Amino acid sequence: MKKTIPRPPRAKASRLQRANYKWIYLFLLPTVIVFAMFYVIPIAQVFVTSFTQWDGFNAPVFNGVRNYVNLFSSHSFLTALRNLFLWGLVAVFLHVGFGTLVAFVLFQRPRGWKFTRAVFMIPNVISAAAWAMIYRFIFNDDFGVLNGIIRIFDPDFSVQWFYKSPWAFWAVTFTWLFYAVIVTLIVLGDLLNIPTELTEAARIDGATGWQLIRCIQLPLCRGAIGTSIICSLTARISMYEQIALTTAGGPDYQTMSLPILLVNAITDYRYGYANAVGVLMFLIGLAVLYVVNRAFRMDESDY
Amino acid sequence: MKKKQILAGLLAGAVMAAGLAGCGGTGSASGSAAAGSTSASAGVVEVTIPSYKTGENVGAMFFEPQVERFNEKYEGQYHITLESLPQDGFNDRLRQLAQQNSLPVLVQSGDIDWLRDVVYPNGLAYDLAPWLEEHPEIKDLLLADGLEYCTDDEGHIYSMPLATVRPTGFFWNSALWPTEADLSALTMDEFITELGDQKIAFSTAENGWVAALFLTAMIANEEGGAEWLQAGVENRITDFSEPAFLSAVETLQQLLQNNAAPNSIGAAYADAANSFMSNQAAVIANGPWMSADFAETNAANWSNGFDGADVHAALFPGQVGVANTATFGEWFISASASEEEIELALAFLEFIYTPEELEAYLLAEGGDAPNLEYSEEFTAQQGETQVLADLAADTTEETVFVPCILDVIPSSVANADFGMLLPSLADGTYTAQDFADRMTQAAQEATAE
Repeated sequence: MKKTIPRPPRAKASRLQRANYKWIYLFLLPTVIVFAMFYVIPIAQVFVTSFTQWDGFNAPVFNGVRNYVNLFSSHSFLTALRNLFLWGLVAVFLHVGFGTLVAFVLFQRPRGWKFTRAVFMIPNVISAAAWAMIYRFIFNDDFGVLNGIIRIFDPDFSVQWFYKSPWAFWAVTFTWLFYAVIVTLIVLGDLLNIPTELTEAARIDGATGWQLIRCIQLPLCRGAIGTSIICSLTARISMYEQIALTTAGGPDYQTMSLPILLVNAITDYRYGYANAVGVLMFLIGLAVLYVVNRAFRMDESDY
Repeated sequence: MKKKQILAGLLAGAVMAAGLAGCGGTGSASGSAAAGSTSASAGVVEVTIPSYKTGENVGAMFFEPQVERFNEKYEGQYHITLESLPQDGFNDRLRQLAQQNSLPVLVQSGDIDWLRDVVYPNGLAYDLAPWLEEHPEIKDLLLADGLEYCTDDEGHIYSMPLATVRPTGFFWNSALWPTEADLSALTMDEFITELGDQKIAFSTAENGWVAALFLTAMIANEEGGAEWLQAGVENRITDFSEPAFLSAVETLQQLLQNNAAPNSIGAAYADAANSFMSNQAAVIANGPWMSADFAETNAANWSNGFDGADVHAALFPGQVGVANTATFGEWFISASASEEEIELALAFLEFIYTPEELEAYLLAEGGDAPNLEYSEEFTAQQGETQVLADLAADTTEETVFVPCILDVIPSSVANADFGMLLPSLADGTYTAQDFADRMTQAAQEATAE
């Protein structure tokens, strides 16, 4: 059972401490101002203007929840939400799963593990936009690498991976699925921080390799895996380049995403509607943060 | 201790001030400051204007030398420097500048909705009407439709109306398709029969530009189609159940399935152009500005035995030219520009509307200036460029001008949905009716208030 230690009553500040308050506040002021300017005010503006009809230039006109009603009655928005849910599942189970698996493999320090780690890092220095363009060539029907290999076995094979249902969803997914080095580095960091005493004690008690992983290492990487899931899910919420540069949301909206809808709304000078999409992205992000924090008990210390 | 406190206080203040100064706006009084610096040194008025017609852009071939000619003519008085911006997102950049009250002195274009709903009603543009009254030699050159469109109810003219029209048709490679037919005089059905199994370089990525041009021509060839498109200039089309549209989409689907060059699906414009200039397709639809690509100087971009000399041009079957004359012009002047900047801007407009510059423009990018009396030299030179001569011969009083479908539908549908839906039409997932339904749905969602 978890033991809670009662917090001692806060001691009254001394005169000297009180005299220092003004300096504390003064030094905090630049940070508070920058935080307000670049976080609080823009976010508040997005929330407020999501309840308006606004062309981005003239004064916004309050229109209640009309933007939200339009959103939830929009086929493309509902499809984008469904896609986000599916990509979320892929991110949690496959993307983070793969990154974690690689971390555990590297943790065993096999021959060449440092080299592997460095190579695994390389895709991360290439931008998402560049990857999207590379994948357009990989998945090209006529001269793409993938179809070239398949045609060795089936010369008549022809699929436009990015433009044909249901392949387009997976083709877009492949543009990010295996680039999980951030997950690997975070999890590997936690693995390396596990005190050797714990592992040694478990071994003395007769724990097998699998038991060690399941009962010691995985639970102690809980926070890292949770952080990775948060990173991966929030990246899915804001995923834009990979889609805009490949399928643009098609075919039949099967790869539509919330950022694409947001940009389309701005193209039509519907900033109020675009900000309503932004608000929902923000709220979904907060919900992800809350749920993952609770599920992985990330606010609890392991040691 | 006291000194340390004062020093710390000063440091904190300095950090805050530096932060705020760095993060804040320029606070410039001049509206043109952020978009392009304006300076007057030794009596020379210098401005920097953002333009996408720079570098590798197809429009740069004519525009950059034109600006140089202006700078030479007004040496010691005016100087324009071009700030290179990519064409993709150029209009977004202009919108940002307008929001910051930092439009450049001379503004190159901007999309129609933004100009009509934001720029002109909000007094961001300088009224050119008095200047045009003082320069009848320029006003007489302007297209009547364009002048009428650019003149508001109170007689203000904010956008410089066009003097030229560049009807868009298509180019065909006579080495691959040695047809003798007068292609623009055919009906669309006759054209498709004549085409046989020749390939067309389509594009479906970006905004599906090449496919959109063919679709526009097909709509215009249907009964009531031209009127339907023209009506869209005033009121954006959001209902695609029009029979002319449905029939045209069916024809487009046939072409996409039977005549599309390899890689048309998912191709951007550059891919389609590459397909045409590598002998993989016999036909590509595009504006006369593409004529520069077929000049010998561009031979480095040809492959597979392609020869620009084999290329001919024609307007679309049914004598359809895709061009919108009732539209805003390419330039407007920022209302926040200073008096001397406005003088420079007006001098630039006067310069580019001189007969010599208009003729140079037409020779470089094709088109017609109906109110300009051409010089003999121009007529002779125009005949030397095969595709321009072809288009000039096809442009007659019988020519039906229609706006491109992409210009008469909501922006997001034109820039995203149209191209996104084309692959499903091409592979047969959608019928023409499905395609029209999706377009209607997207357009209505894009305009829902």
